Amino acid sequence: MPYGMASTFANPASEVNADTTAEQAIPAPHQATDEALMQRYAGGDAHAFDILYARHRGPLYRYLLRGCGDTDLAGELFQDVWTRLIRSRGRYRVKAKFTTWLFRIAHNRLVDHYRRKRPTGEMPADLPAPEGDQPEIHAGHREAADRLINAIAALPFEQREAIALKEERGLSLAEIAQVTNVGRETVKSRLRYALAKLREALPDE
Amino acid sequence: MNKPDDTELERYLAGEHPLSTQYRKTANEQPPAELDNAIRQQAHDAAPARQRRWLRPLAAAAVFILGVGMVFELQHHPAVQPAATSATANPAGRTDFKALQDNPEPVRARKQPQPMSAPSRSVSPQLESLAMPDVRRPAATRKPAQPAPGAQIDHIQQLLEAGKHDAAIKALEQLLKTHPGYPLPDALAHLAESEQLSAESE
Repeated sequence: MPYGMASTFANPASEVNADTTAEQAIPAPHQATDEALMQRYAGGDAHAFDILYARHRGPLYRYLLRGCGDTDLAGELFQDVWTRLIRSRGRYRVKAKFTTWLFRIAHNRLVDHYRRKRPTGEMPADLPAPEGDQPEIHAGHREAADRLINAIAALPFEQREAIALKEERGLSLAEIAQVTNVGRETVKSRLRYALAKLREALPDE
Repeated sequence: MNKPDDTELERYLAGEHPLSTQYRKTANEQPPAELDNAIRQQAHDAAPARQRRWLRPLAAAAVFILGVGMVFELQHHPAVQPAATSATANPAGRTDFKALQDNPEPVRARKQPQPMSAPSRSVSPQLESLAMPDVRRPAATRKPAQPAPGAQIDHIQQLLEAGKHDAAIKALEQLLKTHPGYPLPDALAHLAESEQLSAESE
């Protein structure tokens, strides 16, 4: 089936019928699933993109920020991820959950960035914590909040990433495994160690 | 060293851990507004919905006009000949419709569907060429020999370095179809994944 045409979805909640127009069949935009919105955008509906973007901009940005620890770099990676999504809209198929697909692109982008910087392909074990003199990050945070963000930033990349995916998008173990291209047990292990370290850093949590 | 236990992990996965509560209160960084505007503008520029809605009726109108023009041309074009029988042969070589009306047999013969590959002897060469523009088999097309996968990968990487992203995607898609199991460098594997390319046909 050509991309961009109205089609039946695997998710019955979308209630899309291939025999009706997109405007008739698809629920109100704010009720539409991410997958339905992405297909509408692929069909030329720019407003569908606006809704998708509003839903995912914050979590995606914070995921990248936790991953790289730098505001400017997070912004660059953020724009790059959306650019890739826009370019590949014509090929979009509902093969997996939209969130998983989007964050897989973001994960790959982070990994590519680090591999360019480190030809050995090793991920940095630690990244500098967000500095206290970056007001755009810490504005409005209480002291405990600052400690949590700093503690997360001090985690190894894989653990930090797993925490960010769980917290920002509520991904399950299987979904985190899919995004990061590792096994489910590996994700469990990473989260276990991350929780232990965060608990140690925040004894009163 | 204390080893984290699964009880805590299960609580965490269920969303019942105090860490999640604190994180939700804490993490409120947002992308800058200028970045939002730039991305939205890029998305809108890439998906002109109004133009697409005009395309279909415009295409239909164009086909209709072309069709009418072709019929008009066939009726008045001097090269169009009726069925070449003695009853309708016109020494001037022009279509004699009055003769056709007086002698309906060749008209009926002409109206019978002609197999594309076996033209009737009653059809003039000019009409044959108009009715069956593709009757001649094209010269045997030889598929260009595919370069080796390694050379294709080099080519794709050169396209990416030159900023020719779309051409690189097409070349990568072709590589995946012709060599579905060929191991790709990580960067190309990631690109294929993000572009949802696969060896499967639609």
